[in-house]
Amino acid sequence: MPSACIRGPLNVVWSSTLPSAVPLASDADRVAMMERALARERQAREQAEHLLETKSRELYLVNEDLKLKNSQIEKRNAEIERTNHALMTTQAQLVQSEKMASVGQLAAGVAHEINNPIGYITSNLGTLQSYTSVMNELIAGYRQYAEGVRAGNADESLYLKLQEIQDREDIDFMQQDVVELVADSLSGSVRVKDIVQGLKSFSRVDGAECIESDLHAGIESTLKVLANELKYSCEVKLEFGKLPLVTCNLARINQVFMNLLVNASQSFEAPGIITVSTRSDDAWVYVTVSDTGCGIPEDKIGSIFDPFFTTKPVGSGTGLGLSISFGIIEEHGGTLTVASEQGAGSQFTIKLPIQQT
Amino acid sequence: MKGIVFNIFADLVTDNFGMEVWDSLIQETSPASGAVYTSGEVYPDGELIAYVTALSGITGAAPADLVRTFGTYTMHKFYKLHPEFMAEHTAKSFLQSVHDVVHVEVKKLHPDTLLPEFAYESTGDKQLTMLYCSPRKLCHLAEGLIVGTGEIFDEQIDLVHAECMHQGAAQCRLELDFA
Repeated sequence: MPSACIRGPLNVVWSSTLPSAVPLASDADRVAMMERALARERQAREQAEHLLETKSRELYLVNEDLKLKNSQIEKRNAEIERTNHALMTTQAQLVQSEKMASVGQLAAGVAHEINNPIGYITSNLGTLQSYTSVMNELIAGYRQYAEGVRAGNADESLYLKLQEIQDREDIDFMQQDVVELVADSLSGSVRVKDIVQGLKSFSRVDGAECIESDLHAGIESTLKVLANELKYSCEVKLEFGKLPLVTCNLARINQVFMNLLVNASQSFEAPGIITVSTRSDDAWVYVTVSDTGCGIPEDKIGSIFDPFFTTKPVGSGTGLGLSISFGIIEEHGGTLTVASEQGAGSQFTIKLPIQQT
Repeated sequence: MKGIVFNIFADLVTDNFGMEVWDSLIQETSPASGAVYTSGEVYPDGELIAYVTALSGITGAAPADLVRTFGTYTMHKFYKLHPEFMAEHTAKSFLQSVHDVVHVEVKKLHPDTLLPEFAYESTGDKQLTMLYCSPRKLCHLAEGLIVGTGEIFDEQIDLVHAECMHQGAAQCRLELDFA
């Protein structure tokens, strides 16, 4: 058996041998000793049993306490789950209301944009209708006169009457005007057609499909929809670089363009300039919307992407526009960032991957 | 001190010197507990010190030697009761696990136990310095426990008690060399 060698300040050498046992006096002493030992053992056992009972009682109480706490936790969990569910419902409703607000904005702009060409097309058609009746009258008169000429008895009074109608109705102007009226009406119809085309890109907001899309076309159709809203407050400059087709849900991206453009247009105290510029590198495209508006105060810039944050008066902004825009760009694996200088303007930059991974 | 310590001490005395010596220690020191010990309860440290002093008087062995013997005996008892703590260990790695494993387990069963603090310095593969610190200053018990560990693992351990609380040091420095 190996032994340990102990050295140190106490300078003792280990030894496991101890002096031998103390001798005993008598058998009577021995019996008395055994009785004492037995008594001690009995007491020790009683103490141990008592201790066991105490510990069992403690255990029982701790267990009861745990059960109570557990049921409280379960109750609280259920409450949290309910609150969470309610929050999710509210959020969905708010997102929907923001969408409806966008739709409302869009509808107002579109109504005006369509109303204008439809107005002059209608008026042009009215004018054309009255021109047509004059022209029909003249054509009928000239037919009758031509038949007389062929038969050898030209009706000079009819001719004079037709000349008089021509002069009275200014047929030269009418002939010129018809061409213009038709051209104007045609271009008005094309405008209406374009607007309706542009609207189509907003109509699939819920579709999750990502397809190769032309962001420039998206920006242009968004601007067309917003033309009415923008034309009084600002001038829009486009500085388009060369962009590849970008795999995205264009309807959702258009929603972002619209949001940024509307926000920019509302930032002006006096008519200003909105510049939309685009560029790309190997993997990313960048769309920047800058304005020369009032800018964002430094203490607010950290909150602008937070849901419900708005500086607009109560009832006029949901405060969800930028947070939803941020979400849309994030869903596409991109980023939406802001730089702003108070009094000089703001610049929002969308960075999107060309390919969705 | 927990009752189990007293019970092991009683076993040591009866195993080595017979029940007569244990009985005479009780008669001589008249402990307040009546020498009725239950593992889980706490009893005054003074009762153990009184037993050791009395045993030293009876046997002529120095108290430090007796406490060290008690340490060795205790380690063998511990091994018998909880061999799982020593499985997959060497003497050195077991001693290193005392503070973070064994004492943690003891605390689970007896949260009110006062345990010594151990810090370690491993200076080489075969060397280990254990820094012992406890208001009880039972460093000789620690020595005995180390000796018992060597016996259980069948390893030679050279121990130098370089600094000692009994000599005014803030902690005891036990330098071990595993042959």
